Amino acid sequence: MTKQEYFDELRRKLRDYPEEYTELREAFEEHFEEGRKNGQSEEEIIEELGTVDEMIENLGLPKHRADIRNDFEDLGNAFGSFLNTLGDTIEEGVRSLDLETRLKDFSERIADVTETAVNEATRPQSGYVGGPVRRIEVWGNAMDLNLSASKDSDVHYEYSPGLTVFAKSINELKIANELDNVVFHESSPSGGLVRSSSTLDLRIPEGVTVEFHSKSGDLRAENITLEKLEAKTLSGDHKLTDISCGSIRIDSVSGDMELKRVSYRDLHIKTVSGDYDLDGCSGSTSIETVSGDIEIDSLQGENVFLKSTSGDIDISCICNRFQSSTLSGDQKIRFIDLVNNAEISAKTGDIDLETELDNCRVDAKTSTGDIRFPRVAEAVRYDDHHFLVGIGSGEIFAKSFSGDIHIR
Amino acid sequence: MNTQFKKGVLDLCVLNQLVREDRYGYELTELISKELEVTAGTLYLILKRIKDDGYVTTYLQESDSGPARKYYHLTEKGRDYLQKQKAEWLEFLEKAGKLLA
Repeated sequence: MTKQEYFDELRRKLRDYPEEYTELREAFEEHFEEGRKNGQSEEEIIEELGTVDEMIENLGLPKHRADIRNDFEDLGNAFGSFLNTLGDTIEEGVRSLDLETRLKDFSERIADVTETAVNEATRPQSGYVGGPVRRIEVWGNAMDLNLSASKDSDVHYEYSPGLTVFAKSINELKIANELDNVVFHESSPSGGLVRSSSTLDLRIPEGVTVEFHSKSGDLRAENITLEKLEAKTLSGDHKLTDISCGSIRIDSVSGDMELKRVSYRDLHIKTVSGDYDLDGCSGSTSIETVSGDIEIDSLQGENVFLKSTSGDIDISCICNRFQSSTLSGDQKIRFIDLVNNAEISAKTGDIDLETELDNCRVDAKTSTGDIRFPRVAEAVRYDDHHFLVGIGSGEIFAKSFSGDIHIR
Repeated sequence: MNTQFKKGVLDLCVLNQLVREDRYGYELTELISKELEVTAGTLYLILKRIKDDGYVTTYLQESDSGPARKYYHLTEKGRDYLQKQKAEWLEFLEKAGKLLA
């Protein structure tokens, strides 16, 4: 602060007290002069004289309103700086407590514990059940089942538990073995959040019966020979490849079916909305669905029975007796060979027929759908919906209520 | 030093410096602030008050170097006041000294 600033402050703060101001002003001027002669700097002299506020306090005079406001501002600034200091102190404190590192340590420990728990909960479990085994039952909710062939007479299993988080228990596989009947039962926690589903891999000896009960678990089987296969699922898909089996029964709600090179004595599959894809299968086949599509390629069977409400049917087959029906689904049917007869019916669906055969007997009916049979020209017509193909006993019956029958 | 305590005795200290000779402001404030922790500003205010009370008078006198100086002179009234008050203070200090010893 300079002498000038000091005097300015003095004048401003003592403006209501002219007498005191004049007295001090004169005394200070003289004091500065003397001090300067004495070798003191302005700063030193000002310090020696003391602050104006201190003088006012010593005067015992009420302060000027503006100065009171100034004081408030000073107080406010002081409080502000106090808060800043407090903030800095807290920040410093937090830093010195090293909360960040502690939190990181804590997180790492949680991560470790979680990882251990997850590893423990999902640790695969494997072993075998000694033969001879005739029947295997598998129960699970969301557990997939994979079947393949065992090289010996034992059942080898490998179970990979799925992870369910926020649940009070974990997925567990219980194995019961009574005589020649082995039961695999997975108990899974109720509630929680399923993060991954379990898998049970079974390697089984030839000729056993397998029963599979599951809600969403898939069934996959490859390269095995079974006595019987039964599956009841809700949404699980089924994929059978290169299977030889006496009898296959599958009940599903929305699961899809994919069968490749599966041979059986009889096959019964029922679904509500699941689709079918059969390729190179053989055996008596019975398929029912409500809205699923049925696609069958190169089926060879004694009896073939297909039923769908709104799903479409697309099949090529060799069979003795053939029967298919839909309400609104379209049907595209190709007979590679038909030993006995075929009955095809639809309400509103179309029917497409194809065959190279010289001798066959097909009865095709639709109420409002169209019937297409390119070789009808070769057929000998002998009443409204009765065609004879070639010579001999091969016949085609085509009947339509309001749909067209193309005969060219 | 305690302000209230200081206030009471400062007047006397200032007056006492003028018993033997008249002094000018700077000289006076230097003398006192050498011993006591008190600002020159405060001392000038004390000087104004004791002047208003009639204990001192002032007059200007040319100095050898520079402008005129304001000298402070102790009046009879000031001298009486100082004598009385100083005796009381010294007595008080003596008693207090005993109690604090």
